Amino acid sequence: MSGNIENRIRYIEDSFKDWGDIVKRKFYIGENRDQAVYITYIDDMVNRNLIEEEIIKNLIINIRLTPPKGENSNKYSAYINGAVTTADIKSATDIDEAILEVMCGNTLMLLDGLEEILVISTKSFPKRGVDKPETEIAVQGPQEAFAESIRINTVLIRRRIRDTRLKCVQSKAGNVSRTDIALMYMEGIADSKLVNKIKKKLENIKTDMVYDSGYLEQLLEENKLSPFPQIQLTERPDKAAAELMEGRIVIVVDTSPFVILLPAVLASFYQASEDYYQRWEIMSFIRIIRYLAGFAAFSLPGLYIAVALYHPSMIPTELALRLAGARQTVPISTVVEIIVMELIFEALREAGTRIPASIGSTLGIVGGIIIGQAAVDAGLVSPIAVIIIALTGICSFAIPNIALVSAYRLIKYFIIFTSAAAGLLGYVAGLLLVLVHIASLESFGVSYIAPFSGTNRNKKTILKDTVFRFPLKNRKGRHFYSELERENIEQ
Amino acid sequence: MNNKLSGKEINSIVILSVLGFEILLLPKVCTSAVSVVCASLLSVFLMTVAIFSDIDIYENKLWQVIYFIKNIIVIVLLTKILADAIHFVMLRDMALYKIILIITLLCGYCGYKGIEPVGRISRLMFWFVTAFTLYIYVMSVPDIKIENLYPHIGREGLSALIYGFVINSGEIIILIKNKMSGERTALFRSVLTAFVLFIFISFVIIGKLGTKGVENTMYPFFELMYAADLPGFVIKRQEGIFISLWMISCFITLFVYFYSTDILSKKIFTDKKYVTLIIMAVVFVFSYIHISPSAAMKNYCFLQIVGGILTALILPLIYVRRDVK
Repeated sequence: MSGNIENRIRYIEDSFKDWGDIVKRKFYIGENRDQAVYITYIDDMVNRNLIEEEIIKNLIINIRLTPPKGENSNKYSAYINGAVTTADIKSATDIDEAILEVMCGNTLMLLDGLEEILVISTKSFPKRGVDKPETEIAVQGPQEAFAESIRINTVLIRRRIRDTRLKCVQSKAGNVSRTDIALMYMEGIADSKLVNKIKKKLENIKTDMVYDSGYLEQLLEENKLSPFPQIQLTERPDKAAAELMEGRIVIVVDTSPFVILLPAVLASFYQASEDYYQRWEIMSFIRIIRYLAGFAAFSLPGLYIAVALYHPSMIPTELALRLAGARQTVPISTVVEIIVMELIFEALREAGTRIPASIGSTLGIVGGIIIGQAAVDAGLVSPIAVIIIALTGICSFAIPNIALVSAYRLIKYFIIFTSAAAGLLGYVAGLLLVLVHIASLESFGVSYIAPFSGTNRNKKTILKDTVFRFPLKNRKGRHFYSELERENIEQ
Repeated sequence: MNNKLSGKEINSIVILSVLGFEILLLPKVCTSAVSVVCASLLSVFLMTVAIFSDIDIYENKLWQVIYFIKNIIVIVLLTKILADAIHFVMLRDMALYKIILIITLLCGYCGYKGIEPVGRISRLMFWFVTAFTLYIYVMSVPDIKIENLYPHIGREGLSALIYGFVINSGEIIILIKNKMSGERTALFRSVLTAFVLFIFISFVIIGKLGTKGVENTMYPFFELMYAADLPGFVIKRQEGIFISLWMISCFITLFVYFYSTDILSKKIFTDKKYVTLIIMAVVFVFSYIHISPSAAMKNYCFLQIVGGILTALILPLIYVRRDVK
């Protein structure tokens, strides 16, 4: 579809038929008003002020009397230089491509006698500003979170890394949604093979819609059946910038306030931005607490069941007698008791997520204290079961990543089942099964349990930022993600 | 990742296999300090042969079949031995078939997942398991009676040398050698470490229980566990914790055998779809055959002597002859 402006206008208007929010205007310029100009854009997706001041005004006042003449190339440069006084302007020859640009918030301009279609960047979506992070709260450190706009998000990262090696490759995902995505990485630090692999994977994604980074996360994951997250999401720009410097790759998805971090290993889910903003002694201690809490979050109910049902002799006699006494009036078995309590806790947690913040604390009091106490008093559950469930819940909140907590929530039931089946043997067998599963996972070629295992790189450097957080001046060398580049070179 | 086992991962597998089944089988292998040293020296020699020779059991059809059959029998016997031990010390009220089923399902799944995850978790768990296992023995050192360690050949006499074949870590190396990416000399160093540990542990057991005590006790290793105690720990009867950790080292050995059998079966049989499940079913059924734990240990020792001679003497000789030609 080229050449005749009338044909092009007809094609565009057919495409936007029944679009109530489309704005189109055709007018004539030149001494004899013989050169047609056609402009179209979507209402409220554009900066109208920019269109009126920098495009229409120029065309009607400045160019009208002296329209460019001569060859196509001369005309094109004349319009670019004289009629449109914005920097971000490009041309398209394919009309479908130009229509897509309109849907992205740009303004399309057709000019009589000009081969190219001018696409002027006028995007101005209704958007939320930079807010405080809600899922990765830090007491100390920046209080900025990503927003739903891809440009705001890339800017928030660029603001933190002022280096030309920070690359930002932009593309689209979703056959229908055509969502903008930006692949960001540090050239020379990130593994170049990994960058190419991710680029290829993004190109090969076959889906109609990408509404959030969660869509891409699920489409990019290599082991789709695993409950463990193999890709990390973050809403903190400072974390994304720090991870870029460690050789990871960031994918920013338009309309999502979470960016994707690749590759992801288990240890990375235990790290929080705040770890680096406070003194290393306390943060190392907190890291150890997190690992212990993480282990307890999925294994504590199973361990309780194994010991209470199969190995009561392991409990000191006095405590065992007290526990048995407390359980005397409970009409259900220990396993059912724990599972029912866990399910009630899950329901409370789910209700707490959906409930308005103003009455959230009421739910906590009613659900946690009143119902819990009433259930114990009524003899429906034993106090130790309430303690175990509460401890498990608290431990799960100590993990800084919600995706890993979700995985642990599921794994917990598996461990409960194996422990109920065979006591400590079942408990150990369940843990080993989970461990072997985790060890078999890879995130874009990186072992999921690296750097603890599955990598040959020098552990002395690498382990300085896992269970412990060593002083910043002692962290010579980069994280093991950037070591992958060197590993490839050596091979 | 390069889908290879690093030197450290193989080291962990070798050392854990020595700390697991080798210690459990001690009364059927050597019951005196001298026989422990003799058997260890022979075993180190055999493992050295395994490390430095170019044996690959996966490349020849005949060896594939021989090792497939041998592995199945080894897995059946080891599963039986471990299930009996767990039944005896931890789960007396539980039916044996349930324990066997759990072991078979766990090891079958892990073997099916490949050797890389097994290597990774071996390396990950190595320090936990080794530290806790060694803790038990270090705590028992004050109870050693030095006269129990005086030169004295146990009931097996000079056959202790033959029992060097039973300590099967050389075979473990043969089974996973084709996945090794580390240096052979590093592996040799880890073998020496494993045997220093083995000699230390054996000396503690024999030194504490005496030759007669070791001979008359089904699981002398557990006797030491009963005596071990973590001071200030809320849990009483802590042997449950120690055994749970020690079990991991036994599972690692079984994982390797399951992995090797899985690979061999896929090379031998054309229908590869259900082969892992069939192996698991065979192991489950045969492990449940009623033989006493003692008989299972004796059968295992005999099989390992035959296997050890095959692995460490016959196969290297065939390779040397082939290389000369």
